Amino acid sequence: MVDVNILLDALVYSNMLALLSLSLTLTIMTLKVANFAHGDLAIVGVYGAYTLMVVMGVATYLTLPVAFLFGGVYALLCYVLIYSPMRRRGASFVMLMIASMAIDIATRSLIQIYADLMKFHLKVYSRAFIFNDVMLNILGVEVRGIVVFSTLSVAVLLSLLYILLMKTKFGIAMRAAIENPPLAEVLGINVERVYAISWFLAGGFAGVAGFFLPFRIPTSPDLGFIILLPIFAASILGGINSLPGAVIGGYVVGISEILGTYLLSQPPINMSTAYRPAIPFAILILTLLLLPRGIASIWSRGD
Amino acid sequence: MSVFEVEGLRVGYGKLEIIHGVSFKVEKNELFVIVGPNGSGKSTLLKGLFGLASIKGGKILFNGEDITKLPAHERSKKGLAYHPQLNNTFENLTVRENILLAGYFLDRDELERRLENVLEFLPEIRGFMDRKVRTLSGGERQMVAFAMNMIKEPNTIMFDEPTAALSPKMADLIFDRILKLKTEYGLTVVLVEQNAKKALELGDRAMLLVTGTIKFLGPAEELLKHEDLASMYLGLRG
Repeated sequence: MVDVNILLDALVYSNMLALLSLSLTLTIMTLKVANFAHGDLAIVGVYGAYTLMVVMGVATYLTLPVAFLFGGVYALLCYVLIYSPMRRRGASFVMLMIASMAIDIATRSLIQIYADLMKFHLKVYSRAFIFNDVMLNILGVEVRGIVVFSTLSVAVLLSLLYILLMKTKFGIAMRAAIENPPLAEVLGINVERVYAISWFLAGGFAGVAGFFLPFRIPTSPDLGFIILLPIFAASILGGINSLPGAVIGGYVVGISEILGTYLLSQPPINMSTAYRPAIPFAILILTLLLLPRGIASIWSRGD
Repeated sequence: MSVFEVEGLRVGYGKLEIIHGVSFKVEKNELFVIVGPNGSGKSTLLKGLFGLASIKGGKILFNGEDITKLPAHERSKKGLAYHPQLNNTFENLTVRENILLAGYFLDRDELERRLENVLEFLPEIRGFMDRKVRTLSGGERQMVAFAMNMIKEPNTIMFDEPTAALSPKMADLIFDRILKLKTEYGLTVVLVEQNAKKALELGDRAMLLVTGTIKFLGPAEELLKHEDLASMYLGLRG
């Protein structure tokens, strides 16, 4: 029997992966290139929130919108200053991908410098830091705050994104600009502006996911690169171009990773938990071999 | 005032220049036809006029306003519409969604009013409003693209080979509606067309474009009767 705490941890981790996979997919749909700096957006978000906590003494969970803002603004800057000008000048798929790798390295280096500045000027742990959680009493049951707040965040953000995409004029323009950018432009839609806002939203979602990291594991500037593998596995499992697929992919990969690691570490297998990255890696490979268009192909089949 | 006043326009992609300094005017409520052999730059010229290809030099005035540096979406807001030859619909959406998308900037009442007008102009699409575009024939797709432009109620519309690969019956239907835009709706029409004979019969004035330069500019009827040019570049014989 699996411990309930393991199940709750799987839920929290999956909530984070769903947001990260969804936001990565949104950037891929607009830029048509995999963004290798996506994990760093989560770390930018969490460092933004952490700074506010330290400097202003704001309660941990109240800094969640700041994580959204930091992740969003950083993603927007990456798009407006680097990706968009490169694309306008005819940069190829490979050039844009290499640019995203360069942004990843540069971002991690900048966060390292920022971590040093935090340490020297604010006198706080700026690497391998964790956030203390609160316990909430829900109908007489004690539940960790991260379980409630991460689940609520996913529910609220997904609902808002659904309303935005399906019920608003901007959302219609966004769907049009993603499916056929030249035609959207012909119809009078400012595709560049739509893409820039999409990147802001994607960065914001990643920032929110990043905010929950220090509740689970010690957080450092390089963590964004380490979490990249499960994010890509979830997005590819979801079908790479499907937002609902990305969310489902996030939950499948997240639950498989946590429960799989737990079960395989039990007797008689006793496998080391160090093999944990093998699970998203196996999902990624199996998806590419058996279902190259991801789980989204299941519901788009026969249209 | 002319609808288009184009001076020394040079258009291309990247470092490649395809249109080499063309100058011409398109008058209000005129059906202006652009013909020429394959690869002469007809589609590139339209893309340049609409802001979808790089302008290397020259000037474009649209209704007296300099639009040379405006992006395509800004030109669209000036009442200029462009009907591309390919990829002119959102294939994963229904016909209704495509048309509504084209008018996304309108409020609901205005959109409904315009949709009724469009359906009156193109009653054929009433029968497949809720089908996904990818299930439609080539001719039906062209009608949808036509409707998407009409809902914007433009004052000028540019067509890039709207009858390419269509059956003769469907091509006649499209030509009929294009003519109606001019005669009944008072629109200015710029038409790039492979079926040179049919287009010149419909058009008021024409341009013969060969390797990015103008070989003829004048009344369409005159080009149709010009034996040398018509036979050399358009494959038309007396």
